[in-house]
Amino acid sequence: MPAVKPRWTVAITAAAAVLATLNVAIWLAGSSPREILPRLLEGTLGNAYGLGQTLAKATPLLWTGGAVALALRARLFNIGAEGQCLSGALACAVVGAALPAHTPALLALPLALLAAALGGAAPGALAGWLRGRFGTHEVLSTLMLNGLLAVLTTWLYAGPLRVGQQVHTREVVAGARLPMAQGALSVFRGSALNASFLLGVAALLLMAWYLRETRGGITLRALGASPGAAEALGVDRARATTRAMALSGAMAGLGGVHFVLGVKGYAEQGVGGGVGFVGIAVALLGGGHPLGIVLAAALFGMLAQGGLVVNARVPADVLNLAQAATILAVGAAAAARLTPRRGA
Amino acid sequence: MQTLLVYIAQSLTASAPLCLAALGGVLSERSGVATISLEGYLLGGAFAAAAAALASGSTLVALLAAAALGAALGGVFAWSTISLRANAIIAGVAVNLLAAASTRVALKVLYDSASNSPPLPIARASSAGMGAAALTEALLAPAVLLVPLVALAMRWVLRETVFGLRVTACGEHPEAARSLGVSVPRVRAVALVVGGAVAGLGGAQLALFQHEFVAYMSGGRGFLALAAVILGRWRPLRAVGWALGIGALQALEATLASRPNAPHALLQAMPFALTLIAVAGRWGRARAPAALG
Repeated sequence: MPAVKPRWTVAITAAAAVLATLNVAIWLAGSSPREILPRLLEGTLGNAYGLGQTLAKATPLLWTGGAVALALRARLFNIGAEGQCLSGALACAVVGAALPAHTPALLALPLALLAAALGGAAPGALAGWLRGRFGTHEVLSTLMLNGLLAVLTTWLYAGPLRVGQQVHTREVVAGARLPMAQGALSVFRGSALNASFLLGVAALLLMAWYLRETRGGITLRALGASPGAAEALGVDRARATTRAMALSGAMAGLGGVHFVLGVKGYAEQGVGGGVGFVGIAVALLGGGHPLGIVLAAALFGMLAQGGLVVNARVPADVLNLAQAATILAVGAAAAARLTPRRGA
Repeated sequence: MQTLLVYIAQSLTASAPLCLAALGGVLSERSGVATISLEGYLLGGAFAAAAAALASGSTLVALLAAAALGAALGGVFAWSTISLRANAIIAGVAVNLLAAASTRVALKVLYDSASNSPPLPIARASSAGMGAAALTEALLAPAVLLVPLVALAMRWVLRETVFGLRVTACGEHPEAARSLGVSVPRVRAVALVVGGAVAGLGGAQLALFQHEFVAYMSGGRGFLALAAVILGRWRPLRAVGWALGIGALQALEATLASRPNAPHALLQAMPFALTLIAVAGRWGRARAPAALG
């Protein structure tokens, strides 16, 4: 199976869709695109703060995009990155806060990251296991798990895990916090960019290496390329499916780290929400290639940040409309190379 | 006894959106297109119903608007999956995001609010209705009345009419259908658009019952309805049966909400958890339309 590469047609279609929808939507919202679009570019790429915010918005998308891309290589549709990111953030916040106050970073950070990965891997593995054991399609099971985890985290953050009057969890220990970009480079002052962006890029490179070079990765791709042939060669399909979904879930779970260990230092209602479905678009547009995923995540980060920049003039959700249009366009452009398993 | 009657009333109220979305899902999926866009149809239908009710004050106009917007979203879904040959799951995600984003933009533009519409100018049934009164009220809600009608009509269409048999043929064996001169894209497009309209009616119930539109008010009901489609093995009456069951689970929360110490989170989580278990348990015996994808 040839490596899936970002194709120019896909990128151009996406860009055209974004621009067209933006223009129409801004016009419908009663503003002039000619006025809004320059502001949007200026606010997202024109200065260091805007760029930092764009990359910060892109950070969770690196992880969820990678998660969806990884599962797609095994021809599995993980549309549960949404819920897995929620449970990753939850696990990370709980473990990060439970550590003794003066735990050194060398110990606290890996433990908190591991918690996020396991928190996301658990629902992913469950969906994979259900697929392997009972044939339950992962699309349906992950959608149910999304609903379940949204309810669960909302309840925990408003109730058992809240601290006093604030509706969020206890702060994680100092050693588990990720360095903020504004600490290292003063031009990023005030922006939410933090080290989890670099971790995300590293994870994407690691993922590409895993898929290309390791036994596990090759098994995973074989499962995607030809399940029957993989089985004939001795691959335990149920186990390989569970593992692929667990790894995908771990990536999605680590997407929550940006908020919990980076920006906020705690988890609260809504943390990690809304990045799972966009991750699907990132994976499609990025074509499964690490650089492609970084660029696609940056594009969607730009749309998210751009919405906030122009919010005073047009509703921020206009930019979410552009996201939806991009997915429609990219979904169509990528149709040729996507042949998911039959049977919903 | 009073509580039981109220509970039955609330189950019916909660089930109606699920039932209608599931019926739309049955028609769409029977034509061979996996339809996770039910969630978007519900949300779009709810918004259209609210906006139309605010503009006209008429329930009938609200229902028609909900069906129209559902059909339009079904049309976008059909255009993407059939004309552009996009993957159905991805197109479904896009339609759901499209519905979420466009209803929020419209809320802002029309009502200058980020979260909800003004209250609908439609006679509010006395919320103090107890027992038999509550049940009568629930039964007379237009969307609830529509459920048995649409379910029986769907069953008749799928079993008895040429169009229905073509839908099934397109879902089971599109090549065979094509060789008999059936235009598979056209049949599927009609199924998806009509399916969207039916599911949109379910959204109307959400807004009309709550007397307002609230952003994201579909809250995963479209996905639960999709589960009902699968659990009901793609048959209209069985899907409605499962949707009633899931709605009854959802209604537990509403019925017990007033009691102190009600385990809200558990009650809200139950429909998702039990539906997942039910799907896992029954999947081995389910038979999906062969060409579903």
